[in-house]
Amino acid sequence: MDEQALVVAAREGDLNAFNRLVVTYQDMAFNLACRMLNDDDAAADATQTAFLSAYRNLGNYRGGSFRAWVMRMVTNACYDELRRRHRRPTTPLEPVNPEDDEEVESPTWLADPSASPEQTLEQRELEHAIEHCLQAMPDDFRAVIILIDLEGLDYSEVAVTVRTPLGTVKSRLARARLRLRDCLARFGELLPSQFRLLIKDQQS
Amino acid sequence: MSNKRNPQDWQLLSAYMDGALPPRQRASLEARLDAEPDLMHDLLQLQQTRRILRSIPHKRAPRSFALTPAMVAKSRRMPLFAVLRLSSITTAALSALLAIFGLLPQLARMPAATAPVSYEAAVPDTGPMMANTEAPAEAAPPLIQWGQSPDAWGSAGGMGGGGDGNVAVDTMPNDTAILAEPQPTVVAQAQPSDPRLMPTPTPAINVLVPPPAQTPEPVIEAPVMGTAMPESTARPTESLKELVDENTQPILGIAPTEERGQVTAPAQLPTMETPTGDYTNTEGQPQFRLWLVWATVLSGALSLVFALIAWWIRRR
Repeated sequence: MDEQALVVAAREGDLNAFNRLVVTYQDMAFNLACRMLNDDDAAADATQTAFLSAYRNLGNYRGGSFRAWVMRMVTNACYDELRRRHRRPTTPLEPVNPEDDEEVESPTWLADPSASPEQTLEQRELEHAIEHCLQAMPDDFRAVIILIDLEGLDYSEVAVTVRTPLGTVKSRLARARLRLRDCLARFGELLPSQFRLLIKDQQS
Repeated sequence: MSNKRNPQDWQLLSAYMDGALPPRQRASLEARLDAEPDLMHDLLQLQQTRRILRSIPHKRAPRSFALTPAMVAKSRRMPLFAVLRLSSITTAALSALLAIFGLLPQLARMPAATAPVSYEAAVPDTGPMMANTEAPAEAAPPLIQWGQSPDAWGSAGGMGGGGDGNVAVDTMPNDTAILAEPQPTVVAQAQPSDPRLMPTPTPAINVLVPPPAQTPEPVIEAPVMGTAMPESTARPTESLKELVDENTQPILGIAPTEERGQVTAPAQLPTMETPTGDYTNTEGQPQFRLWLVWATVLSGALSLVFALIAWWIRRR
C-alpha cells in the first residue's frame, strides 16, 4: 500500500493506516525534534503532539510530499515548545562537587561512565559541540539546516515544511552553514584533522 | 575566515554542494572555482562543515508514537482555546460588518454633498416635501418685496446700521408669514405714549416694535414655507405702495420701487441637499442607528474579551 493510499484511508478514519505512516516517519520526526529542542523528553512530547495534530488536520493536506507535511507539524510543535521556553526560561540543575561544594560544569557530568574508549568520548564531545552550535543559531536557520543536512529533505520540501519561499530557504541554509562553520572553528581540538587544517590555512 | 565574501557567493557555494544549481550557473561557478583558490577553499570548508554535522548519530525514536483510539478521541474534543479563538474571530468579524453597515449610508451621502447642486434636478424632488405639507404642488412660496418711505418710520424707525433714507425692507420668504397677517387692533395696543415715535402702522412695524408686557401677545401663526398664503396678504401690499417713496433708487439686493410690496412667487431656491426617501419612518432611524452602534461596540468588546481569555489560556 503506497503512501497516498494510506493517507486517503487515514482521512476516512482508518487509524491503522495512519499509524503505518507514523511508524514510517517517527524516527525522522523524533530526530528533528531532538536537534531542534536539544532535549529527548521534550522531543518525544513534541513528536507525539505533532502526530496527533497531523491526524486531526489530515483534511488540510492538499497533496504533495507527505513527509514534508508531517515535518511541518513537528517543526510547529518544536516552535511552540521553544516559545514556551522563552516565556518561562528554566535553569538546569548542576551537580555539586562534594569536595569543594562547587557546581560541576556541563557536559562533563552528563558523560556516560560506561563509555570508556577515548574515541567514543571525543565523538560525544564533538556531538555536544555541534549541538551547542546548532542551539546558538536562530530557530529558523536551525530548522532549515537540520531538515536539509540531517534529514535529507530537498529545498522544495523544506520550503513546504517551514512555509517559506524557496529563495529564503537557500539563503537561510547558506547563512546557517556559515555560522556553523564559524562556531565549530572554536572547538579546534575536537574537530577532525582535515577540518582543522582547513581552518589553520584560512587563518594563516 | 573569508566572511567578507559576497553573500550571494556563499549561497552559490551552498547550492552547488547540494547540486541545486541550474547548469549554466553551475558551469559558471566551476570556472570561477578553477580560477579562484580562495573560493575553492571556502567550498571545501563548507563541505567539511556539512560532513561534521552529518557525523552526529541519528537518534531513533525511544518508543512508538502510534496513536491509540483513546488519544484520538481525546484530541477530537475541541479545546477551550480553540473555541475561544473561534469566538473571538467570529465576533470581530461581526463587529467589522456592523461598523461597515453603519457607515454605508454616510458614505453614500458624501458624493451628494460634495457634488455641485443641479438646479433642474433638484426641482422635481421637492414634490414629496410639498405633498407632505399638504400644499398644492403648483403653489410656490410667496415673496413680499417690502419697503416704505423714511418718513413713515419716523426718527425711531429701528432701521439698524443699514437704515438710511431710501431703504426698502426686503424680507426673506420665511418672514412673509409673519409680515403677511396685519393686525390693526394689535397695532393700536402696541402704540407708545408718544405718537411721534410711532410710524404709520404697517405689518412690518407691528412685528419690529415689541408690545408692552401687560398687553396680550398677539397670536401670529407662522405657516410653513410653501403653504398657500391667505388672501389678506394683499391688503398691506396696497398700503405699502402708498408709503414707498417714488424717487428712491434701487439698492443692490433690494427690489425696485415699483416692485416693492408685491406678492410674488420667488424663483425656486436651489437646495444643497435634497432629502429623498420615506419620510414616514424618520423617527425609527435614530433608534436603529443607536442599536447598530451598540451592537458594534458590544461585539467588539466581546471579541476583545475572548481574545484576552484565549491568550491567557495559551500563555498558561
